[in-house]
Amino acid sequence: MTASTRVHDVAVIGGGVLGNFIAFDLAREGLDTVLLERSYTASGTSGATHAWIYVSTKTPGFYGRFSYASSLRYEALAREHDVDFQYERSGGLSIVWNDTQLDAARRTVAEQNAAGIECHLLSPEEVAVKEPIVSPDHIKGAIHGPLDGCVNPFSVMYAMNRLAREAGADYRPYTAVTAVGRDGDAFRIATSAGTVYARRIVLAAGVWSIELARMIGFELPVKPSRGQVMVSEPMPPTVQHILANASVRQLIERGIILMGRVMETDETENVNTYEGLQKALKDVLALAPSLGDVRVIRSYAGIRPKPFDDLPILGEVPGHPGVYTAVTHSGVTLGPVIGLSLAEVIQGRTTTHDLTPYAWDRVPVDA
Amino acid sequence: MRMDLIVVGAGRAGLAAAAAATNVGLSVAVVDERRTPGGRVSGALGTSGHDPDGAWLSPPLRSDADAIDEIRRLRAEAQEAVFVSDALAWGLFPGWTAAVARGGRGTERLDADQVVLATGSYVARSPFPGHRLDGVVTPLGLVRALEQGLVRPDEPVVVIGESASAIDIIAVLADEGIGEVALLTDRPRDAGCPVFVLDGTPEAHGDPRVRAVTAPLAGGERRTLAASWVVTVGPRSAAGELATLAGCTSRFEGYDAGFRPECDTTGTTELPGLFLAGSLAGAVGGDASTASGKIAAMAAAVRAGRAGATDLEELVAVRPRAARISPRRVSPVYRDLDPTSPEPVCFCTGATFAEATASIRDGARSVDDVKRQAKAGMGECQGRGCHRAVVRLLDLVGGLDVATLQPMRVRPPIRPITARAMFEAEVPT
Repeated sequence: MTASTRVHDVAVIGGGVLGNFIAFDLAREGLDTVLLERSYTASGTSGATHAWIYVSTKTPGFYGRFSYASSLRYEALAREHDVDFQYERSGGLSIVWNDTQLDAARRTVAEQNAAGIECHLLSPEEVAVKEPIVSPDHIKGAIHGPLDGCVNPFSVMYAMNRLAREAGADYRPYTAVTAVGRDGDAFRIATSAGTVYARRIVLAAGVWSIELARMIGFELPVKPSRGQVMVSEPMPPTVQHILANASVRQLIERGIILMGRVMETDETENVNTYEGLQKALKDVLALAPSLGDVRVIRSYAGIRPKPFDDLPILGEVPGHPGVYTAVTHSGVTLGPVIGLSLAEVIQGRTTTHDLTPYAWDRVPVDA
Repeated sequence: MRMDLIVVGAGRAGLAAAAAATNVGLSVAVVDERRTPGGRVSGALGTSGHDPDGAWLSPPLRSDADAIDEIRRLRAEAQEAVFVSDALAWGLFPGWTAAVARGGRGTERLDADQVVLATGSYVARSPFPGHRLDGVVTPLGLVRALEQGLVRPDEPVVVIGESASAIDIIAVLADEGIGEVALLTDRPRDAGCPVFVLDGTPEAHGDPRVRAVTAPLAGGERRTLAASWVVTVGPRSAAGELATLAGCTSRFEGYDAGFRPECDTTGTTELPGLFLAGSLAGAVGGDASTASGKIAAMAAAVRAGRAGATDLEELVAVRPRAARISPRRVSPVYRDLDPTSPEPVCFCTGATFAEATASIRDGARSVDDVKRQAKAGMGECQGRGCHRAVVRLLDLVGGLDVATLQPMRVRPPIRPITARAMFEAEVPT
């Protein structure tokens, strides 16, 4: 590094949904921000999710409120910047399949209602009335959450990427980080496209943050978890709600139906498997037999990061001043509040939301 | 069902592979989506792009008696093999497992140590200006229109195409007594009708129905031909979806051949136990397909310890070879595409050339990048219809070397099928 070397205030690593929200909020506040993406926008897990903005079953209650705040900021950002995330608060039906789940669902509803989040338990027949495609035969009911909804993740990422760049962020696709070291009071970040210097680093690369953390010298208490999803041909309006726990929902824009709930811990290969697709089909056909006549046009898989206690890990890493993590299983739901929160934390400001439950100091040493 | 070898495709290459493999004592299952073997010989004309009826295969166009005899001979020689017909292999998973939907009734799982893919080729559509006008059809669309009596004998028909299938189409039109036919193509050909050699991208005009085609011709002339019907016979692409899905890398072999999965002269891929034959192995013509099928099966037999390496070397030494075409040769239909055109580049989603171009200007560098950002290729045909045009835009607008590009990522099912047809009734626990 020489006297004339450009040193960015912050390097955000990962051009998915979190990286783009964080880069937007940092740049908007005037920080010199560089966003490093190893491939291209939406090429990773953010482009391979169900993209729900889910609130009702996000327990504990404070986590539900955090998720709800994020949903409100989606609406505010869309209005303020005249962008279309294709956000629709369609309502969610979290299907309850058995008696064990029924007990848990009762506790969830009580806990969320106590936290001020609207949701309630429906009987199988009430579910079938609300969502006629559902067969009441194989279910025990569902949690109905009117606040739940979904976005188009691609619309979100390309819009936020554009807004981040308009706010001054330096976006560098096809820039894979290969090593991170110190150089004076800055980090020297070696990439596939040259060296980048920054005073602070935010790891927002989903499961790839596990490797980045090791490069820096710490362990991220996160496991990879593969999800597999099937995509239907465009259909007339068929499914009105998000059907969680079988993971069925219809995109408003093109009418395609996304189907399949498969979560495979420690699977790191981004492929669809025969067994995974069969499991997804079994759940979907049991829940809504008429979806058997819908043509599937392809599937996809995404490797999601699953933190040790299922809650986000946000903030500065102990023993690594200047290194921040933004890692969560629910990046699409939480993108807007995580962007806002990280910008506040990095500038040492009082945060809008209580981030104590998501801070590093809750992480047990052996996690 | 568990076998030593699964062969996907019952054309000449697939049958030859099945015959050779059963001859050395391997147990073989042959999967084909038609009821009768023969592939292209018996009339399979894979088309690409969205078809409203979901049909991907045409009725027989023309067939060749010698080729049909050869199919009969190979079928008899492969009689020990189990034939799984009327069955779409919609997925192929390393290990190896083929997911096979039989007649749309449900999926059967086939397991084997090795796989030979002989899935042939399909005719691509070319998204040139005006391709969405009424009366601009694929070969399949034309056959349907003829069957329904929609094509009057006095109507002018322009065929645009650069492959032998274009000549087949002209023969069909002659058989049906359609009088005024012209061919727009890339080089002088004997087609039995007026032939015009293209020197650039043609354009169809009309509203809403096509009336004429304007084309820049070799020699500098620009000619307008009256047309009530335009048949676009795109170039033939290797149907490499299962290989790509399984994880093979591919090479762009030019705007005629498109992407082809990589293999060596024996059809051996980089994936242990996966072999390619026929069009997938670069064979052109029936004899080359038969030879490549035998070679791929022998390579699998060598790997299984059922044949010696010298047997394989002898087959490779005498195989017919095709001339290689430079991947950078741009066929006339793709040469002058307008990157800012508001016309759809993607038949399925309607994504336009302008949108695809905007994504490339934004930084997209691969067919998949353009798919995610511009939605070109995000529809039911998984990019079969638009990938060449997207490659052309990546070259024209992005300045990328097409030889470095990879095809769109393929995910199962490789073609649209119902959720019920994908489902195996007895789920493995």
